[in-house]
Amino acid sequence: MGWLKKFGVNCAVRSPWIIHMNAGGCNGCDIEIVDALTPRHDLEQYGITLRGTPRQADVLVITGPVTAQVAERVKRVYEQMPLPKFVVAVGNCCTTGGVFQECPFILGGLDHVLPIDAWVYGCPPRPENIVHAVATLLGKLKVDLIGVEKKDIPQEE
Amino acid sequence: MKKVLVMGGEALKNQAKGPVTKHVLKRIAENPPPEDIRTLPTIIEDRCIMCGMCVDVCPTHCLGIEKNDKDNGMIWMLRPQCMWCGNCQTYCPKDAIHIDVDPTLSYSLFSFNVRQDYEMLTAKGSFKGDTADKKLQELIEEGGKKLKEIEEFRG
Repeated sequence: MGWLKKFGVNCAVRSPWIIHMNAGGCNGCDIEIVDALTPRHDLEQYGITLRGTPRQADVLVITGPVTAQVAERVKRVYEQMPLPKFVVAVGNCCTTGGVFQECPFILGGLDHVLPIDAWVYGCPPRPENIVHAVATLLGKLKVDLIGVEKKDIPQEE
Repeated sequence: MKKVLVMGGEALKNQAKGPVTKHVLKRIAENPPPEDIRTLPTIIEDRCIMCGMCVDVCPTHCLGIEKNDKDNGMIWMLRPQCMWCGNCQTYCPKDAIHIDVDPTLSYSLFSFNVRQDYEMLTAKGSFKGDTADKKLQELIEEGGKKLKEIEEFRG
Protein backbone atom coordinates (compact mmCIF):
# COMPACT_ATOMS: atom_id res chain seq x y z
CA MET A 1 0.00 0.00 0.00
CA GLY A 2 3.05 2.21 -0.07
CA TRP A 3 2.24 3.73 -3.43
CA LEU A 4 -1.32 4.60 -2.32
CA LYS A 5 -0.03 6.51 0.71
CA LYS A 6 2.48 8.30 -1.50
CA PHE A 7 -0.33 9.22 -3.90
CA GLY A 8 -2.45 10.57 -1.04
CA VAL A 9 0.38 12.62 0.42
CA ASN A 10 1.22 14.03 -3.01
CA CYS A 11 -2.41 15.09 -3.46
CA ALA A 12 -2.55 16.65 0.01
CA VAL A 13 0.70 18.56 -0.38
CA ARG A 14 -0.13 19.82 -3.88
CA SER A 15 -3.44 21.38 -2.90
CA PRO A 16 -3.45 22.65 0.67
CA TRP A 17 -6.59 24.73 1.13
CA ILE A 18 -6.30 27.40 3.76
CA ILE A 19 -8.71 29.09 6.12
CA HIS A 20 -7.64 32.51 7.31
CA MET A 21 -8.63 33.81 10.73
CA ASN A 22 -7.97 37.04 12.60
CA ALA A 23 -7.50 36.57 16.34
CA GLY A 24 -7.65 40.19 17.44
CA GLY A 25 -4.92 41.80 15.32
CA CYS A 26 -4.77 45.13 13.51
CA ASN A 27 -5.47 43.72 9.97
CA GLY A 28 -1.93 44.49 8.71
CA CYS A 29 -0.92 40.84 8.43
CA ASP A 30 -4.29 39.94 6.88
CA ILE A 31 -3.66 42.39 4.05
CA GLU A 32 -0.19 40.89 3.48
CA ILE A 33 -1.64 37.37 3.31
CA VAL A 34 -4.20 38.47 0.73
CA ASP A 35 -1.37 40.20 -1.13
CA ALA A 36 0.56 36.92 -1.20
CA LEU A 37 -2.44 35.31 -2.94
CA THR A 38 -2.48 37.88 -5.76
CA PRO A 39 -0.92 37.09 -9.19
CA ARG A 40 2.28 39.01 -8.48
CA HIS A 41 3.39 36.82 -5.58
CA ASP A 42 1.18 33.92 -6.62
CA LEU A 43 0.73 31.59 -3.68
CA GLU A 44 -1.77 29.77 -5.88
CA GLN A 45 1.01 28.08 -7.87
CA TYR A 46 1.32 25.68 -4.93
CA GLY A 47 -2.37 24.84 -5.24
CA ILE A 48 -3.30 27.03 -2.30
CA THR A 49 -6.76 28.59 -2.32
CA LEU A 50 -8.64 30.50 0.33
CA ARG A 51 -11.73 28.68 1.62
CA GLY A 52 -14.64 30.14 3.51
CA THR A 53 -15.21 27.29 5.92
CA PRO A 54 -12.90 25.29 8.19
CA ARG A 55 -14.56 22.03 7.13
CA GLN A 56 -12.91 22.23 3.71
CA ALA A 57 -9.51 23.49 4.86
CA ASP A 58 -6.20 21.76 5.60
CA VAL A 59 -4.16 24.71 6.87
CA LEU A 60 -5.26 27.22 9.48
CA VAL A 61 -3.57 30.61 9.04
CA ILE A 62 -3.90 32.83 12.10
CA THR A 63 -2.89 36.46 12.70
CA GLY A 64 -3.06 38.63 15.77
CA PRO A 65 -2.45 38.18 19.49
CA VAL A 66 -4.88 35.61 20.79
CA THR A 67 -7.21 37.54 23.07
CA ALA A 68 -8.94 35.74 25.91
CA GLN A 69 -12.30 36.07 24.21
CA VAL A 70 -11.22 34.71 20.82
CA ALA A 71 -9.20 31.78 22.21
CA GLU A 72 -12.26 29.56 22.52
CA ARG A 73 -13.30 30.36 18.96
CA VAL A 74 -9.82 29.60 17.62
CA LYS A 75 -9.97 26.23 19.34
CA ARG A 76 -13.44 25.56 17.92
CA VAL A 77 -12.34 26.38 14.36
CA TYR A 78 -9.34 24.09 14.79
CA GLU A 79 -11.54 21.25 16.00
CA GLN A 80 -13.87 21.64 13.01
CA MET A 81 -11.06 20.99 10.52
CA PRO A 82 -10.55 17.48 9.11
CA LEU A 83 -7.34 15.55 9.68
CA PRO A 84 -4.48 16.00 8.80
CA LYS A 85 -4.45 19.68 9.79
CA PHE A 86 -1.66 22.22 10.09
CA VAL A 87 -1.37 25.64 11.70
CA VAL A 88 0.67 28.62 10.45
CA ALA A 89 1.08 31.65 12.72
CA VAL A 90 1.71 34.88 10.82
CA GLY A 91 3.12 38.03 12.40
CA ASN A 92 4.81 39.04 15.61
CA CYS A 93 1.62 39.21 17.66
CA CYS A 94 1.08 35.49 17.13
CA THR A 95 4.61 34.55 18.13
CA THR A 96 5.18 36.36 21.41
CA GLY A 97 2.51 39.01 21.76
CA GLY A 98 4.36 41.73 19.84
CA VAL A 99 3.27 45.23 20.77
CA PHE A 100 0.39 43.84 22.82
CA GLN A 101 2.60 41.87 25.20
CA GLU A 102 2.04 42.41 28.95
CA CYS A 103 -1.55 43.33 28.15
CA PRO A 104 -3.87 41.53 30.61
CA PHE A 105 -6.43 40.46 28.01
CA ILE A 106 -4.22 38.36 25.70
CA LEU A 107 -2.61 34.95 26.11
CA GLY A 108 0.74 36.06 24.62
CA GLY A 109 1.33 33.69 21.74
CA LEU A 110 -0.77 31.28 19.76
CA ASP A 111 1.08 28.25 21.12
CA HIS A 112 -0.85 28.66 24.37
CA VAL A 113 -3.89 27.39 22.46
CA LEU A 114 -2.79 25.24 19.50
CA PRO A 115 0.26 23.24 18.38
CA ILE A 116 1.98 25.21 15.59
CA ASP A 117 3.83 23.99 12.49
CA ALA A 118 5.41 27.20 11.19
CA TRP A 119 5.90 30.77 12.35
CA VAL A 120 6.41 33.82 10.15
CA TYR A 121 8.18 36.83 11.67
CA GLY A 122 7.53 40.48 10.93
CA CYS A 123 5.25 43.32 11.81
CA PRO A 124 3.79 42.84 9.23
CA PRO A 125 5.75 40.16 7.31
CA ARG A 126 6.41 40.75 3.63
CA PRO A 127 4.51 38.60 1.11
CA GLU A 128 7.78 37.05 -0.14
CA ASN A 129 8.42 35.98 3.42
CA ILE A 130 5.03 34.25 3.65
CA VAL A 131 5.50 32.53 0.28
CA HIS A 132 8.94 31.28 1.28
CA ALA A 133 7.67 29.99 4.62
CA VAL A 134 4.75 28.14 3.02
CA ALA A 135 6.97 26.57 0.35
CA THR A 136 9.46 25.37 2.95
CA LEU A 137 6.66 24.04 5.17
CA LEU A 138 5.17 22.04 2.29
CA GLY A 139 8.57 20.53 1.48
CA LYS A 140 9.03 19.59 5.11
CA LEU A 141 5.55 18.08 5.35
CA LYS A 142 6.15 15.86 2.35
CA VAL A 143 9.28 14.46 3.95
CA ASP A 144 7.50 14.05 7.29
CA LEU A 145 4.38 12.34 5.95
CA ILE A 146 6.02 9.91 3.55
CA GLY A 147 8.78 9.22 6.03
CA VAL A 148 11.75 9.44 3.71
CA GLU A 149 14.89 8.23 5.43
CA LYS A 150 17.62 10.79 5.17
CA LYS A 151 20.85 9.33 3.92
CA ASP A 152 23.98 10.26 5.79
CA ILE A 153 26.32 12.11 3.48
CA PRO A 154 29.94 11.17 4.27
CA GLN A 155 31.90 14.28 5.12
CA GLU A 156 34.89 15.02 2.98
CA GLU A 157 38.06 15.86 4.75
CA MET B 1 -21.27 8.07 -13.88
CA LYS B 2 -19.84 10.11 -16.70
CA LYS B 3 -19.24 13.03 -14.34
CA VAL B 4 -17.30 10.81 -11.94
CA LEU B 5 -15.09 9.60 -14.79
CA VAL B 6 -14.40 13.16 -15.92
CA MET B 7 -13.54 14.20 -12.37
CA GLY B 8 -11.23 11.23 -11.97
CA GLY B 9 -9.50 12.06 -15.20
CA GLU B 10 -8.99 15.65 -14.10
CA ALA B 11 -7.57 14.51 -10.75
CA LEU B 12 -5.09 12.19 -12.47
CA LYS B 13 -4.10 14.92 -14.92
CA ASN B 14 -3.49 17.39 -12.11
CA GLN B 15 -1.43 14.80 -10.31
CA ALA B 16 0.83 14.34 -13.31
CA LYS B 17 1.42 17.88 -14.53
CA GLY B 18 3.74 20.37 -12.91
CA PRO B 19 3.04 23.87 -11.60
CA VAL B 20 1.41 26.16 -14.15
CA THR B 21 3.18 29.37 -13.21
CA LYS B 22 6.91 29.92 -13.03
CA HIS B 23 8.70 29.37 -9.75
CA VAL B 24 8.13 32.46 -7.67
CA LEU B 25 11.34 32.34 -5.62
CA LYS B 26 13.38 32.54 -8.81
CA ARG B 27 11.33 35.56 -9.89
CA ILE B 28 11.89 37.24 -6.52
CA ALA B 29 15.64 36.73 -6.90
CA GLU B 30 15.48 38.50 -10.27
CA ASN B 31 13.47 41.42 -8.86
CA PRO B 32 14.78 42.05 -5.34
CA PRO B 33 12.76 44.16 -2.88
CA PRO B 34 13.54 47.89 -2.55
CA GLU B 35 16.74 48.95 -0.82
CA ASP B 36 15.11 50.85 2.02
CA ILE B 37 13.24 47.78 3.25
CA ARG B 38 13.48 47.20 6.98
CA THR B 39 14.49 43.90 8.57
CA LEU B 40 16.32 42.87 11.74
CA PRO B 41 18.95 45.15 13.38
CA THR B 42 22.69 44.51 13.35
CA ILE B 43 25.41 46.17 15.45
CA ILE B 44 28.77 47.53 14.27
CA GLU B 45 31.01 46.30 17.05
CA ASP B 46 33.69 48.99 16.95
CA ARG B 47 31.22 51.83 17.39
CA CYS B 48 29.15 50.31 20.19
CA ILE B 49 29.83 51.78 23.67
CA MET B 50 27.44 49.53 25.61
CA CYS B 51 25.27 52.39 26.84
CA GLY B 52 22.12 50.25 26.73
CA MET B 53 20.03 52.90 25.01
CA CYS B 54 18.69 50.49 22.38
CA VAL B 55 17.57 48.10 25.13
CA ASP B 56 15.72 50.89 26.95
CA VAL B 57 13.86 52.29 23.96
CA CYS B 58 12.85 48.95 22.39
CA PRO B 59 9.04 48.89 22.49
CA THR B 60 8.77 45.09 22.42
CA HIS B 61 11.64 44.32 24.85
CA CYS B 62 13.36 42.05 22.34
CA LEU B 63 16.91 43.15 23.23
CA GLY B 64 18.89 42.23 26.32
CA ILE B 65 22.21 43.49 27.70
CA GLU B 66 24.86 42.37 30.16
CA LYS B 67 27.97 44.53 30.70
CA ASN B 68 30.84 45.50 32.98
CA ASP B 69 31.99 48.76 31.40
CA LYS B 70 32.00 50.32 27.96
CA ASP B 71 34.47 47.85 26.46
CA ASN B 72 33.18 44.67 28.06
CA GLY B 73 29.64 43.55 27.43
CA MET B 74 27.19 41.78 25.18
CA ILE B 75 23.80 42.40 23.61
CA TRP B 76 21.45 39.65 22.47
CA MET B 77 18.09 39.58 20.72
CA LEU B 78 15.00 37.39 20.57
CA ARG B 79 14.43 37.40 16.80
CA PRO B 80 10.66 36.75 16.58
CA GLN B 81 9.93 39.60 18.98
CA CYS B 82 11.60 42.35 16.94
CA MET B 83 9.07 44.31 14.87
CA TRP B 84 11.58 46.18 12.67
CA CYS B 85 10.45 49.60 13.92
CA GLY B 86 13.92 51.21 13.85
CA ASN B 87 13.61 52.88 17.24
CA CYS B 88 17.03 51.58 18.31
CA GLN B 89 18.60 53.07 15.16
CA THR B 90 17.00 56.46 15.84
CA TYR B 91 18.12 56.72 19.45
CA CYS B 92 21.64 55.25 19.21
CA PRO B 93 24.12 58.03 20.15
CA LYS B 94 27.02 56.50 18.18
CA ASP B 95 25.14 55.23 15.10
CA ALA B 96 26.23 51.69 15.93
CA ILE B 97 22.97 49.80 15.56
CA HIS B 98 21.40 49.60 12.11
CA ILE B 99 18.25 48.12 10.67
CA ASP B 100 19.56 45.70 8.08
CA VAL B 101 18.73 46.40 4.44
CA ASP B 102 19.81 42.99 3.17
CA PRO B 103 16.91 41.92 0.93
CA THR B 104 17.75 38.23 1.23
CA LEU B 105 16.96 38.42 4.95
CA SER B 106 13.41 39.58 4.30
CA TYR B 107 12.29 36.25 2.89
CA SER B 108 14.06 33.92 5.27
CA LEU B 109 12.40 35.16 8.45
CA PHE B 110 10.41 32.18 9.61
CA SER B 111 11.09 29.24 11.89
CA PHE B 112 9.63 26.08 13.31
CA ASN B 113 10.55 26.96 16.90
CA VAL B 114 10.07 30.49 18.20
CA ARG B 115 10.84 30.27 21.88
CA GLN B 116 14.50 29.33 21.40
CA ASP B 117 15.36 31.59 18.46
CA TYR B 118 17.94 33.81 20.18
CA GLU B 119 20.80 35.56 18.47
CA MET B 120 23.92 37.24 19.88
CA LEU B 121 24.16 40.66 18.25
CA THR B 122 27.52 41.70 19.67
CA ALA B 123 30.03 40.59 22.31
CA LYS B 124 32.98 42.79 23.22
CA GLY B 125 36.17 42.43 25.24
CA SER B 126 36.16 39.76 27.93
CA PHE B 127 32.61 38.69 27.02
CA LYS B 128 33.74 37.48 23.62
CA GLY B 129 33.88 33.76 22.99
CA ASP B 130 33.09 31.45 25.90
CA THR B 131 30.92 33.79 27.99
CA ALA B 132 28.74 34.73 25.05
CA ASP B 133 28.30 31.10 24.00
CA LYS B 134 27.43 30.10 27.57
CA LYS B 135 24.83 32.89 27.87
CA LEU B 136 23.27 31.93 24.53
CA GLN B 137 23.04 28.31 25.66
CA GLU B 138 21.40 29.45 28.91
CA LEU B 139 18.83 31.50 27.03
CA ILE B 140 18.02 28.59 24.72
CA GLU B 141 17.55 26.28 27.71
CA GLU B 142 15.24 28.85 29.29
CA GLY B 143 13.24 28.87 26.07
CA GLY B 144 12.99 25.10 26.23
CA LYS B 145 11.58 25.33 29.77
CA LYS B 146 9.03 27.88 28.59
CA LEU B 147 8.11 25.56 25.72
CA LYS B 148 7.38 22.76 28.20
CA GLU B 149 5.33 25.10 30.41
CA ILE B 150 3.23 26.16 27.45
CA GLU B 151 2.67 22.57 26.40
CA GLU B 152 1.41 21.76 29.89
CA PHE B 153 -0.84 24.83 29.82
CA ARG B 154 -2.30 23.71 26.50
CA GLY B 155 -2.99 20.22 27.80
